[in-house]
Amino acid sequence: MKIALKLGLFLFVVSLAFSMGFVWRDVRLGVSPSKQAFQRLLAGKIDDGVTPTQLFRDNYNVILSQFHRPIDQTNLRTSGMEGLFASLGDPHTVFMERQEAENFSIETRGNYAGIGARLGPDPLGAQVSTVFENGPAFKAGLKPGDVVTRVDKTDIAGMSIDETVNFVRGKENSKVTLRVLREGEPQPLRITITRAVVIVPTAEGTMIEGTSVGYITVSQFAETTVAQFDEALREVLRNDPDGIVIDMRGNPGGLLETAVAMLSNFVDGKPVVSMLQKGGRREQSATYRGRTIGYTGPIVVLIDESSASASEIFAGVMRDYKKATLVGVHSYGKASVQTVILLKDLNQAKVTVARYYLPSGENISRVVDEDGMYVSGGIKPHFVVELDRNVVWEPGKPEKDAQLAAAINLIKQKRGD
Amino acid sequence: MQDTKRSLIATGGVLAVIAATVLGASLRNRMEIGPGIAVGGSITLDGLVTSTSGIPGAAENADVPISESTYFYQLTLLLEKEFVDPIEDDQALAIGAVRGMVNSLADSNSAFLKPEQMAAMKERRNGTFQGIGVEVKLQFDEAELRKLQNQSIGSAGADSDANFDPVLLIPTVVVTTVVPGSPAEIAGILVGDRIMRVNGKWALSSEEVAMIRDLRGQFDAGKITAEQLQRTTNDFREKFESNISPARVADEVLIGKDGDIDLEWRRPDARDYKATLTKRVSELRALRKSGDSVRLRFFTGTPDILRDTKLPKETLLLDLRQSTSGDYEAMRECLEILAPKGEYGTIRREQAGAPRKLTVKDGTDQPRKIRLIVDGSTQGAAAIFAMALVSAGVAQVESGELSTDLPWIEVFDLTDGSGYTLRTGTFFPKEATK
Repeated sequence: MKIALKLGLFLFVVSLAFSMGFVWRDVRLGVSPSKQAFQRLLAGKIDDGVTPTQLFRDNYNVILSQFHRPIDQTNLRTSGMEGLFASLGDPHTVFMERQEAENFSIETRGNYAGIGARLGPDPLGAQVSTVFENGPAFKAGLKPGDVVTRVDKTDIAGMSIDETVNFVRGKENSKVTLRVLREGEPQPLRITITRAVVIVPTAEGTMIEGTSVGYITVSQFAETTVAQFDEALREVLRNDPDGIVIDMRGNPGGLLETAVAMLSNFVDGKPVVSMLQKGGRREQSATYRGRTIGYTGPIVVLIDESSASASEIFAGVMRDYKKATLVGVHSYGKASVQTVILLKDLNQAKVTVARYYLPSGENISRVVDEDGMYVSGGIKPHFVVELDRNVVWEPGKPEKDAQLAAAINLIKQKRGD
Repeated sequence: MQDTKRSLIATGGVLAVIAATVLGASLRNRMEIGPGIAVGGSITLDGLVTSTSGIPGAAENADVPISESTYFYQLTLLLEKEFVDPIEDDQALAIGAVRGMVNSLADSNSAFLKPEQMAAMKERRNGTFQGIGVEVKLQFDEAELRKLQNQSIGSAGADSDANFDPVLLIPTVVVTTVVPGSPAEIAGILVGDRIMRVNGKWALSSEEVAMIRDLRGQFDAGKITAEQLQRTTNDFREKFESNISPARVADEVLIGKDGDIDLEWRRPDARDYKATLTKRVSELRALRKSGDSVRLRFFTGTPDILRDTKLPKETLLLDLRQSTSGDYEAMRECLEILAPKGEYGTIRREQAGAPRKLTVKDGTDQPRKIRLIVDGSTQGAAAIFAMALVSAGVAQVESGELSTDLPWIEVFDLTDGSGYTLRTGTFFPKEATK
């Protein structure tokens, strides 16, 4: 009797130990033990090819051994890993190859320099969307709207902006030559620019000519942007404007703290965003108390599909607290934080680890289909206004900027003119 | 004595517990990763992730060989651990990887198919067509394809790198079958037409990118003005911003049993057409007899129907037109029914491995004289069928020209109903076997 009890206890301990071993993988990952795995164990299905890894391996082998042409194994594997990451449906969670990882390491060492311009997609190469005042590109005569078709000896048509930027950037004081198409120029131009570490004005304020509407452009959210934005705001308010247009178009974002500080000019001590981390941990940030400027006139925020991250948060918070009207087209939909993990073979994994939610609780994350095409996401403007394609866009000039013109009209209407 | 016995039992007990733990862990690993690769303590996250975050590890780490299964497994671990959302369906990860691999092949005959695409494809192989009642083919620019192939084998090295242009690898969507009585036929779509625009979205093509380049060349050479270039670029920009991938174009015309679709298509003579079509199911019969001629399509059920059909004894006129994506197994069985015993050619790969033989094991003992009607819409299984019979001297071509593009395509199923087609070889007729 006693022996039977002991034996029973012993068997229990052994099976407990077995189970511990069996779920060790889950423990290490910090997830709850997999029920499916136990079910498969009890059903005796261990090698039936249904686990993700078995499924992957079987098909990898089929493709490699049965495809009618020889295939490079490394390419096949890389494509598989890219597909693995793409299956999550998050455009910011990506597997990147070695070469890009090397560029990343150059960046982290800090000895990279740029030309002081922002590029956007164009079928012929890349279109210059912004040239930072007094930057190297500005001094060399590059203009917004120019289409860059070649960087040094590399034809960039068909390349992504990220790839193009890799060619444009380089060591400080080195030179880069761009071939540029400019409207009105019969011949392509060659512009040589000396790269420099670019410090750019990120917020500037002015009055729009012939109106009493203030116009503040914010090109990114850097640490220095807070002071520059406050200065721009003061500059505009000195003219007692009928309304203010804040231009977030082409603004890729930056620091969240900067957005919070800027919003504190308009929103008093209210939640800005909550950041939801893995496992449901939530962190919230709020605007400061007692910092508002008390401006009561109409404010319009301009957004476009290149407005991302902090600029969307700015626009979204202004909208949610009814402090501004949004004009333009839907924004990019980047409301998440990524970590870059370097792998031993120097490939890298960029993974979304947290998401932001606006005060309204809206999740603005961009959703793309398997082809990477936009499905949904971003902030929707109150008034959708597209740029006129037949006019070469000059931001800041209403006659050449349909979105700005619409913003000015809106302000005039609100003022009852 | 008693103590020794007791401590022996205790030691044995502890060992058993340890063994059970290790067994549990290794069973689980085997279950997750599968046999055939090293399993054990080495499979942890830090097997793949560099120890220092930020700066990559020492370069000597770079070429550590990691098996593809381990690599995949470790990345799924990494995503489970780091990705913000819980991963609900971990099989979708593997299926995504398969999709990535198949798409990287850039092969007209190899494509990943989502569950609904797979289902529609299988239905088509039984003669039931959804959508507008067509078959389409994603056609790549052959010259560019060859460059990519050279590059992916790595034989041409840096040279091919410079020449290969990913932009020119966008395939065009070409109609290869039009089902009689289908919405497509009624709208006047013909075999060989190219789908240009679906519901207002442009199917971007390598041709247009090339055209823009030519235009830029002319501009560089001073033959056209900046205004002309700008105008065309603007037209192009519209297409660039509102486009639809070739795979989605195929979905739109192949899938769906109701709803309207706006289409624009281009004939090979460069004339453009457009119409609004209403999707519905159209049927194509596996076998249609009219007088002495039999129109044959290689659907899954075709062999059975063929066996039950009374065929002319002496001469059989087989019409193989409008048969593009037949079932290869059904085609083999039809050979068994119609052709005498023998070898009919080989299926070969461009890589190591013995060629497979296309043989008729028993065959018919009363062979007929077979005459074939073929044309450009006789493709895939039907083209191989025709070539096999003609090269073996069993059949003659009555009209049309035999296709020389003879891919052998197989279908692979995945666990969630999706799957892929894979070109596993090329058919070589009998003469070439010598």
